[in-house]
Amino acid sequence: MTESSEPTQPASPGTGSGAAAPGPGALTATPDVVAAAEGGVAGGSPSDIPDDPVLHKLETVVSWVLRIGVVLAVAIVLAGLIMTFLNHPDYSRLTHGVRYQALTSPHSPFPHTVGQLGRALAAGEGRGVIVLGLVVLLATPVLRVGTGR
Amino acid sequence: MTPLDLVILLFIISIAAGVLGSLIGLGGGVVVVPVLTLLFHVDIRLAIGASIVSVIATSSGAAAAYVRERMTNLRVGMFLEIATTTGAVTGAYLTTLLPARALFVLFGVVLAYSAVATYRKRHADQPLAVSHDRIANALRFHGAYYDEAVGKEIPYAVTGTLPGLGMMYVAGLVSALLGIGSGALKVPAMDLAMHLPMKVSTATSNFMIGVTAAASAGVYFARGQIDPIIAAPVAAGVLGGATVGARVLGKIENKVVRLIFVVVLIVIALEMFQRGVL
Repeated sequence: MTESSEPTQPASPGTGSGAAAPGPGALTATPDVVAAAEGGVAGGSPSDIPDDPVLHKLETVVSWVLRIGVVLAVAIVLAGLIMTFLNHPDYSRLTHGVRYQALTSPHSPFPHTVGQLGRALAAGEGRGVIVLGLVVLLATPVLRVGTGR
Repeated sequence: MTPLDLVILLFIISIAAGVLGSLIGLGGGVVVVPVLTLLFHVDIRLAIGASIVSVIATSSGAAAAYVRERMTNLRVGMFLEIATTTGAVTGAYLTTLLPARALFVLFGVVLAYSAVATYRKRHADQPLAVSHDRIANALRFHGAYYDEAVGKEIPYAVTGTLPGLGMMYVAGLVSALLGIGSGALKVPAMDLAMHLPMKVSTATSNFMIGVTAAASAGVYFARGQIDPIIAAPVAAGVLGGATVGARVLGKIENKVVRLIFVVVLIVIALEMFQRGVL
């Protein structure tokens, strides 16, 4: 992590510690002048934006929304997974248990509408809890867009 | 094999998928789909549902760290999302009108070309200093990131906004048409067309793929393609892997990221050819 986001360009005013010795007039040179000196007419360079508090605030908010969504989702999913195995001890064997194919065919029953999800949760089914966690996960990027703009 | 065995194995494999996906800005579907269909003989529709979960988990898990560390170029990402989303909506409308096989071959060619172009650029590590792109200048796309591998802040300028937008539109279009992740086109659009540093390209792609995938995730969910017993270990494993990968990206060199990306692009290109020809 770096505290200063300001790009250390030799041209930015106030950078006394620049390794390259600035030529005369460099302290007063604006980025546009430097860009012109480098062969550009109306070029833009990273030093045009020394710091941007709005962007940094946005970055903090977006990062937090994503982190909360992700942690919440994984916690619910894991809780649902544990519930599933506690409710069905025959799933939890390493050998001679139920074959997993019974649960991974397109016809195996798992909630995929809001109504089914509600009923599964009301019945205390582990897979209902997993699906709830997955919904939180799938909604996280959408929420990010909502807060980010 | 019992459900517990499946969950444990999928969890371990998904960690690897999360690490890889977060490093190169793809969703991890490139690992998850073949593993589920070939190794576990899961129906392709459920495998694609799990892959969507994996994309969103990679994106959110890694982007939380990348955005905080300012590895992601938020302005570029949010701007380009407009093009990807428009492309995805167009693709959803066109999906029955275009021949899928020909598209797979065409997309395979595009990816193979991107792989060659990315490989050729492997030694070019100098970020752009000055940009004459009016849009990039007006919208202040230029930025800086702290590169742990070289131990200093790297400022960079952005160019090629219009070609970048075009490629992003195509990325959204193709991912909706073919039901595949869009990161494979997003990274070259930012790396090759817009001259963002490779790490910034993959981190920004990571940030964007979640939204693109979330747009279709609702449809997959309603169709019953997201099976909880498969998706749960995938989500948890990929999130864990993506968190680890997000720590690694800063430390490795841009060149290494490029080379990993090239290898994965070639694998996806071959897969596209196979689906188009066979």
